Amino acid sequence: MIGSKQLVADNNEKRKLLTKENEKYYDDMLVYIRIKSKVSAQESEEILMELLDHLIEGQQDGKTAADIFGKNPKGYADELISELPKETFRTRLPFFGILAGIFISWSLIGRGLFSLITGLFTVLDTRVYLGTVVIETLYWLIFALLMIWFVFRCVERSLFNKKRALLKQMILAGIVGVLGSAPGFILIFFHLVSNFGPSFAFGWLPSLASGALLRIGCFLANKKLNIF
Amino acid sequence: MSVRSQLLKGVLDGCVLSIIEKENVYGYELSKKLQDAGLGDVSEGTIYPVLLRLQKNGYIRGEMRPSESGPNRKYYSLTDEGCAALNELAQEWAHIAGPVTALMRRRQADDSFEAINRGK
Repeated sequence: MIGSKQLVADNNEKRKLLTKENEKYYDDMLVYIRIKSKVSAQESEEILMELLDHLIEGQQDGKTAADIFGKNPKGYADELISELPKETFRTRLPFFGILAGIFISWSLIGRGLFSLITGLFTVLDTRVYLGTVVIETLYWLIFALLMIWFVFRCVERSLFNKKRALLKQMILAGIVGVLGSAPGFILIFFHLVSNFGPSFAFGWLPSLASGALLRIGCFLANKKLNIF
Repeated sequence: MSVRSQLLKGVLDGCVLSIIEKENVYGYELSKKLQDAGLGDVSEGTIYPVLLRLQKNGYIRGEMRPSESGPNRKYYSLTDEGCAALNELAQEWAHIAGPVTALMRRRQADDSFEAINRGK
């Protein structure tokens, strides 16, 4: 079996063979299907590769993408997605699990590096309060997930248009991002969530080490499950 | 959607299965074979939702491997369940095709009959 990473790489190469008109048609479909089907990269990349191969062969016979896939690319892509294996909460759990894992691991690594560097100049209180940490982590996780969902939606809405509206959508996403993250920064900066729960010292080394371990764990899990 | 493609929608699964039963094909080959069989009007893209559905139902299996001309292609083969499904479809089709054809023929006959009546 050819893995999804290889398929993506092959796809990038082969797309260069398309005419400009066909590329525009295919690109929209590609992005749409990648965004909308998050079950397994393998299945969506395989069908995308089949469509691309077909389009390239058809192009040599003088056909356009619209001749082959119809004049309604969005409708066609929706039809394909509806026939891909159904996604349920269970099948999507690994996706969100690994996403959260990567997010937390980078936070730990970032915190570790920050403590290490600032610790060189000043004495840091590395004590963490479990209750506070859980609340803050939950806030950022939910924010990150909403943000990803929102950006996906923005990209989705910019597809299949005559005019590319991506820039406008991205500016919108940026504004939402700033507005959404502001309360989080205010909470942390002004210590509005009072410390609660058991506390323990958590210096730069354990922070960095646990972050790195978690990142490796996510990497291995992703390699096994082949999600991203 | 044209009348023809609406009509075909229900039986396209059977057509695709019967081609895959004869030989393992990849997407582009399959669309060519459908055309050769006289189903040229089927928009080529319609086979891919069908292929996905048949895979999901376990009727066919897709396998990526190098093609004769070189690059990798996803070749489809019929599973045992697919064979059973095709048998059932073929039987059902035989039950439907005869009566429908007869009805349509009779209608044409009626038309000409009416035309004669109007002419009087």
